[in-house]
Amino acid sequence: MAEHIVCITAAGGIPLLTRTKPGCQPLSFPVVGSLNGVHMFGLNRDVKLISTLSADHRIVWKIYEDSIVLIAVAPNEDKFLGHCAQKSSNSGVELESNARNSSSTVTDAHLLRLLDNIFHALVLLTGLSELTTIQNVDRLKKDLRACHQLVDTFLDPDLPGAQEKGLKLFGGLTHSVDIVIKEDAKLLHEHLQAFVEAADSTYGCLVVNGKVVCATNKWWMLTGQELALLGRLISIAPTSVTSSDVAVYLPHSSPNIPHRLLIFTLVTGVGNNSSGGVRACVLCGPQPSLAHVQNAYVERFWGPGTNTLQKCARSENIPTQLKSSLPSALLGFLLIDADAHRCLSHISPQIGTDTSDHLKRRKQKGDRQKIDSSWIYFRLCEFYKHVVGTSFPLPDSVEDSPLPQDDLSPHAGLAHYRCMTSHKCFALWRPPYQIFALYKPEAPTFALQNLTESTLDAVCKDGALLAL
Amino acid sequence: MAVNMQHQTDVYRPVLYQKSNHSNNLQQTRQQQIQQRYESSDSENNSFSDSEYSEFSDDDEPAWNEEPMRAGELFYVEDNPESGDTIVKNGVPILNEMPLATGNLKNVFIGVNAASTYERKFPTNLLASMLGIITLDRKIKYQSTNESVVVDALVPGGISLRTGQVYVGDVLLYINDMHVSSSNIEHILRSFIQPSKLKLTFQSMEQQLHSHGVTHSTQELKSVSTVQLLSPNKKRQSQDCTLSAPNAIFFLTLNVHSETAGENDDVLYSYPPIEGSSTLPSKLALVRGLFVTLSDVIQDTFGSQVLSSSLIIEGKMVHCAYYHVKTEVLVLCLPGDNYSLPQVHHTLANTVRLLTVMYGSVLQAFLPENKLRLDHLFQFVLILNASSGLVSKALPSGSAWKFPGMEFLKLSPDLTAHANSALAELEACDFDDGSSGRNYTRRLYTIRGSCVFYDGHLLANHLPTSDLNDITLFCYNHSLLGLNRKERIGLLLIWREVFPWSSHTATQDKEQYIPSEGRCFWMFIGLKHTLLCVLLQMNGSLFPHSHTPRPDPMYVNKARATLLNLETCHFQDCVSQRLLSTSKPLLAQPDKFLLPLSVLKGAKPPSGSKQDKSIFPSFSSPLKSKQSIVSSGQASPQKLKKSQRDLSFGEKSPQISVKTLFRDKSFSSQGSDESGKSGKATQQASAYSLEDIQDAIDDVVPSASSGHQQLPLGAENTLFCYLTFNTLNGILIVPTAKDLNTVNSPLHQDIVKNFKKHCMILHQRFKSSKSSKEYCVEEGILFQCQKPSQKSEIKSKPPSVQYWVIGRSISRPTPKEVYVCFHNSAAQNMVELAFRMI
Repeated sequence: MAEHIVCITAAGGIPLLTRTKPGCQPLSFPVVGSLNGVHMFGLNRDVKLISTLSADHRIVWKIYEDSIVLIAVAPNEDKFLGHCAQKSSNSGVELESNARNSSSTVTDAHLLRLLDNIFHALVLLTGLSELTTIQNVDRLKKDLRACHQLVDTFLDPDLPGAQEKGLKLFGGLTHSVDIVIKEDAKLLHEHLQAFVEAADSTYGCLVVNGKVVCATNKWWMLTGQELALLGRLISIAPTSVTSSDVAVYLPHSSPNIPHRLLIFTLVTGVGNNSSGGVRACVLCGPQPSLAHVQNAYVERFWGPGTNTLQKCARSENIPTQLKSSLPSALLGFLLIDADAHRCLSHISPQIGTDTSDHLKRRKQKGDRQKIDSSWIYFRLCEFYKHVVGTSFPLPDSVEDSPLPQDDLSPHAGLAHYRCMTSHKCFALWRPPYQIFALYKPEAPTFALQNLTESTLDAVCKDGALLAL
Repeated sequence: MAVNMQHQTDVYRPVLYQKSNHSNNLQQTRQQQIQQRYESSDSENNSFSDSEYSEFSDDDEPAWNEEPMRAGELFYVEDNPESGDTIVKNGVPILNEMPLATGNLKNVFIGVNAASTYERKFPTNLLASMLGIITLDRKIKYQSTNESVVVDALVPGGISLRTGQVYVGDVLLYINDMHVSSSNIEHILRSFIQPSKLKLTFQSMEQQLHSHGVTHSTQELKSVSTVQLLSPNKKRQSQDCTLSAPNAIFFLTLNVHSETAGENDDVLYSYPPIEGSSTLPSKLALVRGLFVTLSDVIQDTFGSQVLSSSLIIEGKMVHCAYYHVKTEVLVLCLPGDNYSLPQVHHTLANTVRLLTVMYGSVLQAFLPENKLRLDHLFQFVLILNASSGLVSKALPSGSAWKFPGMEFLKLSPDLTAHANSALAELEACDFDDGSSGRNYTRRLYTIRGSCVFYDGHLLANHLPTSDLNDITLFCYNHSLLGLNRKERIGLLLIWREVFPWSSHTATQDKEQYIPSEGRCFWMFIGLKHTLLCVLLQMNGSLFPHSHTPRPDPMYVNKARATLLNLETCHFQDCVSQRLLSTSKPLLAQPDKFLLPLSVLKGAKPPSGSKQDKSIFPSFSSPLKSKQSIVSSGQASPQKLKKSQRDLSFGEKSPQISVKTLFRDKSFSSQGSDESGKSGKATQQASAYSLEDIQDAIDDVVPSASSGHQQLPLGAENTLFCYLTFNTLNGILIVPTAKDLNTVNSPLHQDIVKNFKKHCMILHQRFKSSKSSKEYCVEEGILFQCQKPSQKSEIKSKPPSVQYWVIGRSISRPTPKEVYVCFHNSAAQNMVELAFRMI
């Protein structure tokens, strides 16, 4: 997640798109210019600048298709570093703090993947040819305005509290699409199949709160990044919209020929869940028109299933039956199917469980506010970044990695755990699945492996889950 | 131990030949480059005088005193002779009638008073009182009356000890060319009725004792000689270590007047020097503008200092770390294939610390007059830290550099006590009137603390952690410890002013104890494998700061005496034995756990073979382990012998404690004596003990510590590697680099490599999470490793082994971190034990 995202033409150094996290001072033009200049200076001398770390920021550069440079500025995850650096300015002795900055290259890799995502988001809405052969910078700037909303989702969330409303999507991080498991998925899949066929297409999916419930087989043939981006795009459409028609360039499948993405809101979001609602999407060619599908098919194919859809919109990511079979110490998990580019997340916040012991409750009072869902989400993301890239391999990417690959080590990580004072987490890799689980600190360390394995078994046994 | 005290209170005062105590050493030890100086000093030394009561050449001008000081630093090195050359050539013909058996002959000259003066004090044992030599009564054992006189121990403060040439194990053959034996020795000594000079001829056992140590070293780094490696004064002839990898250090200034500046005026210092444009370092130099701009822009925009950048040059990752000093910036570039970014940060932090300690500040360090010295230093910083390639094979791996600590060696209590008391003795010499009895001037220095290293391992430390880390950094970057490990140093003396890091950092906390102001000096004395580091403080400002005084010979001699003292009673041998095998947790060979993948799926590897069990008995107490050996009688004799040797210490220790008088009593021995009673095993023990008697003497490892000598995990030993990291004591890495050389399994080496790599990562994470509210207490990774197979067998999957690497941060009682690597099959309770091993 970044504070600033800057897109600059490689040839002229003209800023095309500058997005800043709300509440942050935007970067001034000279700063953008010198950041770009430094990168260009290196390029002219065969030196590729990848990233720079300062006491409280991390900056990454990447050039795409020799025509566009993306720069992201992200806050340094080790916040205390800034604190130390201030001291160092007077005495120059806080050297140890420099060395403390952990897992730096790892976050580089993750931040670079963020840049990939942003570039693909630009391609998705403007087309690759537009970006590689820039004829009219002003026109391109105007075109790129359409991307603002999508790009903004990659910026840091303003406040931790806002996450509560937010999407809590892992797709951007894992380069896969977020899915949910619903009891009625099979039924809904049939509805969807019929609906998509009627709309004269083979690509279609049903999305709840930005997460895919079911999709046609063809839809699953898209790459992980495309799936994740489409999911993101569908979820950011305003709640008030009942239907919309967006031209999309699929970054890998057809970067130059646009398709139409038709979005129909079947059930509007409930409460403050702004991204909410159940939406059916169809990816199609020039025909049929939006109005035609809206009028002719939506009611016809989805009308009978309204109750199911309503239920769907309210329920959690995993069925209640499965939820009850999970270990009680489990705070949440993230399950990734690397082959199918899907990830499933489950977060069970611990809200004031009434304990009879008065003292105990009082003692826990301080901790309780921490274990809300956004805290768990944040911890899971953090743990994922910790593990993937050091002991687990990074997910496959269509793009070539700018970081030179390590020579393949014969040592492959299979499991990884961390015990913090506030929680414990355990990651397990059983190809093709990767599971990252978060536990209460009370969970005994030696049991984590078994708990995680049983969680993985429980979720995967429900087999249908990842098949739809 | 009591050398310094005893010679004051002289009942007897030995008359030492100059020849014997000083120039003998030098005669062989110096090499050509100091030959000239030697000849002049030798002529002075040849004229001995009876009246001179000297000890360790207090009064003559020591050789190092002529070594010029450069940039406030004295660096003096003598090479050690090959251990075969120790035959003394001092004009006296070597006795021809003597059968030249195994050892070499050496003559030692000492002066003694009349025998009667000794007799009054110690009437019983003239050999001990007069010559300072102790023999054990062997008549009972060998039933022989005409036994030769073997030096079994040396009297503390005795004359033989003080010559530094008589070693335990030497055989005294002649006194003034008269053959001596245990039967006639007292008689001969009694015959010296007036003060006289004696020529003692010993048959030296030295060669055999140290031979194993020497064999390790010969293949290493032949091209660069010791002196060249160590001394910054010697010009390196062979610049063959040119750095092809993108290593570079720049010191750049931001304020250059662009109108008048030349091309390279912004570069205040660079290593390697900028030349041409083909090499990678010079390419880095070309883009130095990038570093300067970045640090400027980021400072202005975000108000924080830039720490590092990652670049790719010719497909190679390069990490560059920055350090700002006012308008200057120090940039350290290191290749990414050897370094992770945190390691680069760490290296830079260490470099800055080292420069500050050596020169007072970074700016001071980069003054032009220090350039040659810095070139030498940075060459080491870069080479030593390059963890791959030819050079690092010759030099020790950079573990000490990468972990902020020193490898320490856990010794048995009495050895520790011995080392500590030796240091305490040295530090206490402030309070005796020592050499200043002659000239009543005020002492220049007081000793703030000292520490001693053996073979690159910390033995004892009387310094605060910060000061110790300073020393560690310096030693590591001058490869003093590595050299220690490799070759025995004849005599090494380093003297320089230092600016302890603690004095730069201590200002924040007012509660903290602030040591008195004053200039500090380091004195390093190296002798053979041992290195003694002393931190001295000069009180008051007697000299202008530009002038660095030379070391006081008294301190040098005291320190040397301490080392010689340590050298007696086989201290070094005990330590090296301990290093080699027994003190550390036993490790298992991962190859034993290699299983086909299909079996591993079942997650329960079959139990180890019976042979394993016999080597690694299931429990750690000597009693139990003995039983297990008895029960598995079919184990091969060789293995039995090995484990037997471990076990026999218990029985041997009483005897040994008599021999080594420095230890009052081996209090550890009682328990194990009882344990040695089980029938069969004792028989076996005696069978081997005769053969191994020499070995057993070498292996003076009291059994008290044997409790943790072998703590295998569970029924089988599943422990692969072990690393404990204690901020106070230093670090312990098992296996050591030396061990690793003997392990010829590529798999094991591979695992250790991976283990070390991930220890680094985990260590960094522990460190970074420390300051936040919720910190990490434990982290572990499960790895699966497939055996690197030469033949590419596609059909059958290669066997693989699963192992954990777990790091745990323990805050109580003392903060430390323990890293353990073990096989997946280890039981949970055994893993817990492993964390508590040391």
